[in-house]
Amino acid sequence: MPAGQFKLRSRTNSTSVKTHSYCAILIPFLKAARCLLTVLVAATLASLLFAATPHSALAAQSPNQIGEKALNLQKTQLVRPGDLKSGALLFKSTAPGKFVPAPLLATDVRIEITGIVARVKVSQRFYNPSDGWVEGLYTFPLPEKSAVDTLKMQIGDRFIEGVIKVREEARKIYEKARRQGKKASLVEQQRPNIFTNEVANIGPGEAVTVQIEYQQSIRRDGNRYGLRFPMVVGPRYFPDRNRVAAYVSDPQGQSADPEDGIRIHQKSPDLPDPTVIADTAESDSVENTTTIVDGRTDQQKLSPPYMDPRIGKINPLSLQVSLKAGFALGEIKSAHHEVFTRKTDSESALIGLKDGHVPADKDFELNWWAVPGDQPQATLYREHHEGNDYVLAMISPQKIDPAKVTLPREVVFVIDNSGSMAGQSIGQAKRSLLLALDRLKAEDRFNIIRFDDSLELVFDKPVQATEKNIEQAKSFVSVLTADGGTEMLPALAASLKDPDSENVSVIRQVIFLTDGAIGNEAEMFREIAANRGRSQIFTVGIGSAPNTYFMNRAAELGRGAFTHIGSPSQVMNRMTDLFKKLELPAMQNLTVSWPETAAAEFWPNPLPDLYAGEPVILVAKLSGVDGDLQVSGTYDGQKWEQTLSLGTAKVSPGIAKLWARNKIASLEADRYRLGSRQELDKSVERLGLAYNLVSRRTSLVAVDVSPSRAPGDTLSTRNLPLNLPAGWDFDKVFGKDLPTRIDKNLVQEAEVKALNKLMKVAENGIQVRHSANPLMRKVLLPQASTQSDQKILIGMLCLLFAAMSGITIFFWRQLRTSSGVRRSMTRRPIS
Amino acid sequence: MTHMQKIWMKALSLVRSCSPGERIGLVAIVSLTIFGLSQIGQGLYIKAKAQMAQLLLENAWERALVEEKATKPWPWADTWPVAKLSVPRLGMSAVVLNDVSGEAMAFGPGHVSNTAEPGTTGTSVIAAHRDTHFQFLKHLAVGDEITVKNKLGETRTYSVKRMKIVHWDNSGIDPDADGQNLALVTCWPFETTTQGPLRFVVEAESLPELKAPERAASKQQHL
Repeated sequence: MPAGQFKLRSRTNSTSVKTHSYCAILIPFLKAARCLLTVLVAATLASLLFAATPHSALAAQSPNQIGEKALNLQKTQLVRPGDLKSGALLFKSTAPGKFVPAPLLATDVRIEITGIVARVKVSQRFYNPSDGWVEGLYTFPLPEKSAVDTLKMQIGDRFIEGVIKVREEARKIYEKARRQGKKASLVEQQRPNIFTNEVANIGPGEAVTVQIEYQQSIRRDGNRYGLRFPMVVGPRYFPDRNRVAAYVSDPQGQSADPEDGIRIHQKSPDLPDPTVIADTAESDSVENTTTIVDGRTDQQKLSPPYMDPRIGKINPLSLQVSLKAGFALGEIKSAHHEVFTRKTDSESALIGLKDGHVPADKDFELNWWAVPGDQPQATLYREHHEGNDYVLAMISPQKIDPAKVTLPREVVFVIDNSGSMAGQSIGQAKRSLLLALDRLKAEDRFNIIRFDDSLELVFDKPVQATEKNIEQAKSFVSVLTADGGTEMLPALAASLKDPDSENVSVIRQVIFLTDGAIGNEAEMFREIAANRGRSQIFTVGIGSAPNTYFMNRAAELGRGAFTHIGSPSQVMNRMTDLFKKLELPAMQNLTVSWPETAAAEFWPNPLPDLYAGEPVILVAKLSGVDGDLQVSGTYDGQKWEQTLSLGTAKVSPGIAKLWARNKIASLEADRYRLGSRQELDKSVERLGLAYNLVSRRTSLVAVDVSPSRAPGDTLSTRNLPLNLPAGWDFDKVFGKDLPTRIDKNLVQEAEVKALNKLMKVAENGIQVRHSANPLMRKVLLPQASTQSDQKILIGMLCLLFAAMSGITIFFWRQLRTSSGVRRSMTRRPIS
Repeated sequence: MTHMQKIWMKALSLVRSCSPGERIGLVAIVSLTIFGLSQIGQGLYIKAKAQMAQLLLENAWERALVEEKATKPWPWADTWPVAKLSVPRLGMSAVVLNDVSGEAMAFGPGHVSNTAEPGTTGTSVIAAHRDTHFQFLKHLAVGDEITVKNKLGETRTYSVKRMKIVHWDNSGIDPDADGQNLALVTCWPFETTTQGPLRFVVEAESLPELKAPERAASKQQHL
């Protein structure tokens, strides 16, 4: 044995001889400590390794799930009611003092425009931040002649296709699934331009995506082509029944005051039964048709909660348009949103929102122009669908110079200064009206009516447009402020009052400047149809989210035209367009003749009058496409005619559905004229089922196969909050003196910061999912972390492990030597 | 016997006194220690290199500004400075290199080559490692000002608008966006040490140039 080793041992021996007695006691402890150390080291190593690899775990997930993760982080904060530090959008629940967080919504919109037809996919992603099961009810607008034909519900990776059913049947299927705890989605039409989507059984922290698809035709006005995607339903005013009745039943009972016009105050309610004027004609509700009068039947559904914009914006929306114009594209412009545009070739372009996402609080409007000279005079598209041919024609009458002398006009302006117009809208309306006053000629006569929940006439009857009168009118207009309810019917009735209705040597025009934020559209339509006389009604839609269904239909019934002014910058251009329509004669008596073999059924029938720049748009169902289509009309006393060969039509999908949608719209429009309601319902139902369309009588419903909510868990229903349309004044709409439908306490002291954070999280949810915008050049981001930290960490671990092992071996040796000593001591006496 | 020799003899005797099993353990401990130290060394080297390189780059950058041409920081470098970025509030600054190769990013933040040049219209994307030059990114807040000086010596101030987390190949950054924008990119999450697919993006927009009001003011003085 080498000396060194012996020496070492002998020295150890000498010490351990003295200490062996406590060593013997320590042995079990040391053994235990060794075990403990091993376990500890293993545990540390394991946990460190685990902590260091969340990347790989995340990498395996789809970006979508990451978004949800981000949302889940928020969840813990949301469900603590009353905790203002981490406040959020909370709903009052039925239990006093308890609140439920509102479901969150993110929307993605993809629009594909081919020629004259747009196909739109709307994906609504509902997220439930609460810890209970929720049913979400989302009220959303769509363009008024949109043909909704597809519903898909996405749960995880599965898609459930919706089916079209008669409205009541669809509701039954939905309610049953809801009770059984199955996920289900039901899309119903509440108004031709307002739909609701109900999604049942969204689990705690869960997200359900519902995809809706529809098509619509493109609007053309002169050289301008346009498409609007409405994003939000503005709060609707449901009129005070007594006031309406008061005016309609007693139109002469005004208190005359020559100084500042005529003011109608609320009448004492010694009135005929309001239900006399209120049978449920256009109201679309199903559940309570018996008990509630017109307009209010669906008031509940059309009264979603609104967010005070001062607190924050919700409901992020991303949008992308792929445009194939079918002609060489000139300018492309978005009216109210910042977009980026990439022309992919001379006839097509891609358009996306610059910010990627915007809060859903104003309509998206896209306009495009043909390269000058490349403007097609007529566009004809067709589709062959189940044995029939469907044709969509859009014909621009060639310019005919009107006779120099135009007839004098009598113009009645009606300006809405109700609370919903407060903010930007009233300013736009006033500017538009002042512009219009300047255009009046001395031989014209005019009057101005303003209304909120009261109404006022500037002159008690139309007066000559003298300088003095115009000045008086201008000073009246310039001091108008917006406040109060929207009692539109009395104003409409007053504007249509025409004692000289037989005189055709004067053109009578009624110009309505409003946002149309009303819920009793049907009553208005009836009034127009019954009393329009010789008057033409022009509607000017003001604001970021006007009720275009009402405006278009009112103009259609009133043989006028609809003009939309969405932002202050549009006032000038759009009003100039309108003046052309007002001052130039209209194309009248439009008729269309089809080849005899085609057996055509076309809509709209009869064709409406056309104003400057407006094209004839018609959709027809034909038995064949041989022969010619001829459209003729009279313009300023001259005959106009145009012939198109049906064979030249380009093939485009979706025309059949547009035809069906137009037929439904025309049938519905005639509803108040035709007698039998059942018959109408039946035809709408048949059309809806045959063409797979959502209508007043048919809904789309999708139900998951297996239940997800256990029978014991309760389900609560939430109306999804909406943004107030941009530019609206919250206090004026939901003011104190108004009978508010919206509880201001709805938003429980939500903290601005927390809410903005929430919005951001919701945005991120979308962002991560939809940022792959094909329009953009892709920026691939480089790896942006070194391995330094990882290396240092591994190094430290190695050192730690080495140190521990060293200590362990040291103790192990101590242990061995001490027992060795003990052995040798016991052996020694024997030797 | 020297001191070293004594230690060596002791170690030798310790090894000799061990049983074969203990020897294997000892060898393992020693190699583990060496490996650990080398790892730590490498890690620190990366960080030190990142810091040191910036000093050299600073020099090259100053020269580049004066000589008005691309100047390599050291003769064998395959990268050169294109801009200087600083965040006054955090007292941070770094010289930005012309590309984002692993080589370049070891020395400084890199400008992603198919994006707008700093100070021109579009979005200029600058990336750096989260554990070296862009360690400070997590301390940035909305509204913070970021100053970038480009090759031409023009200084532009950007204001932080938003931050987001994206997948590396789905960044949502529009290189041709209107206005002058800046996007700073680093790895996310900050707390982990492994390399992953997610990136943290700080988006900033150019503030209106400060020169304009100054000019207006001087004009008024002339009047």
